[in-house]
Amino acid sequence: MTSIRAKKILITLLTITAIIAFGALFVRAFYYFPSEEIVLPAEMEDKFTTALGPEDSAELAVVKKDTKPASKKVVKAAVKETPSTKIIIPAIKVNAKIVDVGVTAKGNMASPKSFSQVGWYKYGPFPGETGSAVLAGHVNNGISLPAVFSKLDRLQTGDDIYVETKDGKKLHFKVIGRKIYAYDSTPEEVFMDQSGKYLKLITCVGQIIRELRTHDKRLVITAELIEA
Amino acid sequence: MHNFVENAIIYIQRSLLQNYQNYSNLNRDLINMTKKFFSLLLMAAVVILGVAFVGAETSSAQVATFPSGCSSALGYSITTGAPCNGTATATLGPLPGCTTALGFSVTNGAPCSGGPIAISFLAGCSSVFGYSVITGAPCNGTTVATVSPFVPPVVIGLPTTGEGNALSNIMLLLVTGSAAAYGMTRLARRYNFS
Repeated sequence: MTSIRAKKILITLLTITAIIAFGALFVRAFYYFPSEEIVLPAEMEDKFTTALGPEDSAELAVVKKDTKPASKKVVKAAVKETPSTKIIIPAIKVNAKIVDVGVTAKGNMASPKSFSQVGWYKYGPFPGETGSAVLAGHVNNGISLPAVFSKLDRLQTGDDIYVETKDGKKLHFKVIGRKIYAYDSTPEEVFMDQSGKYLKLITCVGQIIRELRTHDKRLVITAELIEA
Repeated sequence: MHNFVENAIIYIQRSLLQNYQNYSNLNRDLINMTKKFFSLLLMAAVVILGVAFVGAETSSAQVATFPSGCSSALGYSITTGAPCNGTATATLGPLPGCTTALGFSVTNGAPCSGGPIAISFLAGCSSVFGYSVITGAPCNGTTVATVSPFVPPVVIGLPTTGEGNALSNIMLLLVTGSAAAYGMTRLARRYNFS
């Protein structure tokens, strides 16, 4: 009698655990990507802003939140929030929310935690400002189904991209170029091109490197602002 | 004589049939038990795998505990003012062979926390650099925080925007999903939910 009861309890516990494990895996596969983003202390964020040039630093200083001193209870890094809310690319039927992303401990741009959202590199300029506003989106989800930028490679020169801002503006960009980089490259022109008002869209392409669990190439689409 | 032989044959046939039925029942029981055993074994394996997968990132949780207002057994509590080592006299650090309250002494190997357990990171810290996000105290266990050696590069690397382990995700989903469905079916049958 006791052994039957123990077996019942064991089966119940195992079933519950299996359900929880399945739920966690389901969320991980369809909704959550570990972006590995780190929170930078305020003094380091200053280094980022100065790296962008004096003009941009002044702009960022205006939008920065108040930084609490280290002696306060909670030390929170200064961040700027994206003024953009949505990106629309009619040619590949993308209509996605834009979220802020920072950097990872390895020194790479972080990626959005959701497979359906697009991450804006928060230490760079806003879309529509002078410089390169960098946006990244996933090509596939945890079980290789298409994600937000799965068709990014189909974009052609002249295709339209719209970025909606919080104040209701619709910025109009046109695709002017595309380039493929190695996954471990640090292309200066992607983040630091100050010669115009650019939008850079990044996603993964190429073959999967099994050991690193990532693709071996990155596609970068460059678009230029034509109407604010 | 003929009747006797006929009766004997019938008797043998019946005996054989009964033996076969007994054997069949025994065999069925054995098969059922084996099935149950292996299903339980499979479920246990799935659960262990699932727990290992989900809990992998939290396996390095802290175990050291100190009095309220103390991040180690050194000095005084910032809330009560009492010595953090639980005695009448406070131990003032850092201890010999230690530069902070973290890790072990390089001279005698004792925990630098002053307590029985060495601290790797303080509460609210993920490294020895910067400040605790909970208490705001320096993460190196001293009064002055160390700045992280991570220098933000002017040019940063490209992001990871694709999943490279889809196959293992699919396999894990299938195994845990099957185990969950199987377990629920068994429970429903057992408790007559269906």
